[in-house]
Amino acid sequence: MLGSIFAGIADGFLLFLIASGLTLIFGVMRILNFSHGGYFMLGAYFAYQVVTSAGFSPLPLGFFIVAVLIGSVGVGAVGIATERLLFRRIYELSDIASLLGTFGLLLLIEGIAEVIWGINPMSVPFPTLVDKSVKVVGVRVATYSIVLIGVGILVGIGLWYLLRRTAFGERARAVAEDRYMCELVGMNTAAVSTAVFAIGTMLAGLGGALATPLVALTPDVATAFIIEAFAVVIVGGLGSISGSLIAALVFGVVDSLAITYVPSLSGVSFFILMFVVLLVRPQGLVKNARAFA
Amino acid sequence: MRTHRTAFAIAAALSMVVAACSSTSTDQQSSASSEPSSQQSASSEQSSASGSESAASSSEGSSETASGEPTFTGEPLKIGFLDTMTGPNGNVGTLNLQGAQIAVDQWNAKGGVLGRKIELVVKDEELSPEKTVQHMRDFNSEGINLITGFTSSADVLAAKPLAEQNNMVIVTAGTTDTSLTTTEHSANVYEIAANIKMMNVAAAHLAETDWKDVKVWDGVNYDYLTGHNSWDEFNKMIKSGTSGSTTGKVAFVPFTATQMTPFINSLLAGNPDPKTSGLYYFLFGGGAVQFAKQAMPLDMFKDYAVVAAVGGGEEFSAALGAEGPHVYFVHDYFYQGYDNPVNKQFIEDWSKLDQIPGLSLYGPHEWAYEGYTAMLAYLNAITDAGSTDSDAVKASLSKIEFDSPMGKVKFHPSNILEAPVTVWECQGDSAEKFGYKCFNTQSIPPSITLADAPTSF
Repeated sequence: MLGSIFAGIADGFLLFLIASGLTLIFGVMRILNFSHGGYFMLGAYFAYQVVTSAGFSPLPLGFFIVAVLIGSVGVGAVGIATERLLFRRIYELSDIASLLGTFGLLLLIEGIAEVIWGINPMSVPFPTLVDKSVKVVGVRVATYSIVLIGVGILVGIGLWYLLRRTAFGERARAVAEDRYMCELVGMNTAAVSTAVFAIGTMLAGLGGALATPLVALTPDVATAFIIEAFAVVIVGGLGSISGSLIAALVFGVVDSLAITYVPSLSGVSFFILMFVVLLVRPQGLVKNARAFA
Repeated sequence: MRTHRTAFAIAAALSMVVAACSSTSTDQQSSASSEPSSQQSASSEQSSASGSESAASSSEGSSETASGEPTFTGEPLKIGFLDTMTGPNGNVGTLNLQGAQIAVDQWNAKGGVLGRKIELVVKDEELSPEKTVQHMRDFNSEGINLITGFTSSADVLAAKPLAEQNNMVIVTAGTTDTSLTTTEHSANVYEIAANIKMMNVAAAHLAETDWKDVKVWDGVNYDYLTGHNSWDEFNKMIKSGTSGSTTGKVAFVPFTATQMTPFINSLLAGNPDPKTSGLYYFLFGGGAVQFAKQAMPLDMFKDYAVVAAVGGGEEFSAALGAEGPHVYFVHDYFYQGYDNPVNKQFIEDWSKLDQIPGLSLYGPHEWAYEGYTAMLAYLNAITDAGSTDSDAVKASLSKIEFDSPMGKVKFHPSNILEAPVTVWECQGDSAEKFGYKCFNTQSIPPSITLADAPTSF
């Protein structure tokens, strides 16, 4: 039981890293960004490229951290470019148009990755110091899971601080509340949007880079994670960071327990939970999502 | 605003088109891939013993130019190649095609078949029965009656009625579901790859001979029909065997699962004994790698004396590199296991090809072998029949014996190739070029794996 709960929490925090960027972008831009999974996948491939280019065996933890940072920042740069070239033109279009546009972008990113890296599964080795397991209350726990939990907590605190305690956070919340009014008072909403998009995509890149030791890296890894991330964002309350955190942890733990104790529900427990939550609370777990609650 | 909307519409449309190209590119490359690449050309023009004796005899209807290049008589012979070339399992079709193209190049260098140049017409079925049916109809309307390729047994079942109705022949390269040669048997469908039953018989045979210390077999399988059938079959064989071993915990993993730790925990909950426990591993592709990645920090593989990957292959070890666990692979072919001229030439021609991105192999993959052998089956049958007529080719396929990378082979009455199942070991090793090594190959003959296969229908 304890092992399953711990595994679920670690999975939940990885999911939170992806979902937080997604919900952040939705909060400010009102766009359901289907291409978010593509940024996750790019972060993973960037980190893979850095690690394999160096050719370390075993992989030092310090260098892995560098690869993760490069992956995350690199994806942020790609995010800025795509926001300026494509997303700026989507903001005022209908939801259907933006969904189709971002889905098209996801397919484009997947196609490019297929051309560059191929479709065969690749992997990044676990870095030293976090490649083993430890016993926690008699349960075998992967040290890398503890790293994921730690990073997830740090990202959660960092986002809370950024949005609640800084001038940038105030501006971002203001744009999320009323973009038109912000423009009337002379705020550069385009710059705020670009910055928020960069942060959101960096979080996706961070999630992807951190996931590399755990996943088989293929271009379609984007699709697998984005579906779960969307479920988390919807259940958490569109635009809510804290809602995404709660939803990701609940999803992770429930899915883990379901697989362990009711194996026949594996793969569907996630969606059953989403269905139940939306039935009871169609607005999501957290209210007032627009203000990044 | 209007210009913004127009610009966005164009950008979105371009995104869609470019992305769609990644899934339709194989249709477009069909003509390109039917021509040998420069490297393939170079290799196929070399004088060699490739393509077996039949390849040499196939040149009887053709002549050579002064430069030594063969000339062909009549229209090119078009053989349909229908496989999953894109998406998560696109690597299977890509490798099937790689092998088929090697065979085509070898035979074309010797004058083709019946004096005609051989061309592959490649279509991507995208792992979809609907697409399969659509492409089969297209082949029929294009006058192409001989089809190869196929990764998914479900897609073969979708294609079977059309093949029977229009008297088309299918020689599948990579399908493994046992039903194709039992309950769903068709006179129009032949199979190259060892099916699940053959591989399970081989694994159960080794459990009685080589892995006698294993007393409890746990299992991890994909959560789909063949995954469940495969485990049930292995479970039955283990329990009815004489080794006294039994089966324990089992996990069924959905294809879409990203979180493997709960499945791993459920297996570890059975407290496997590192000296007397074995793990039956029926995962492949990205899922097999992902499961292993999440199992390694929990030392799961150290808890099992034997890990037997049924249907898995070297791409698993290639992806994991130096940290890869020690695994026994049970599949149809491994290039190190066979010492004959056809295999040597196959390996030599493969080594001259460009490496597939992200796939670090020391020799041709078994999926390339399957595509290669499927083409050899067709080309030898056409030569024997002296015709490309479906009935004549079927009659020849059912009776001929031909040289393959695994030696002389022929089709069993159930229409599956009577070839050995190969078992080999791979393990991560940082001192090796690609970070892993493979060794200890052994063959389980068809006299064991097909002992109780049906012979009449």
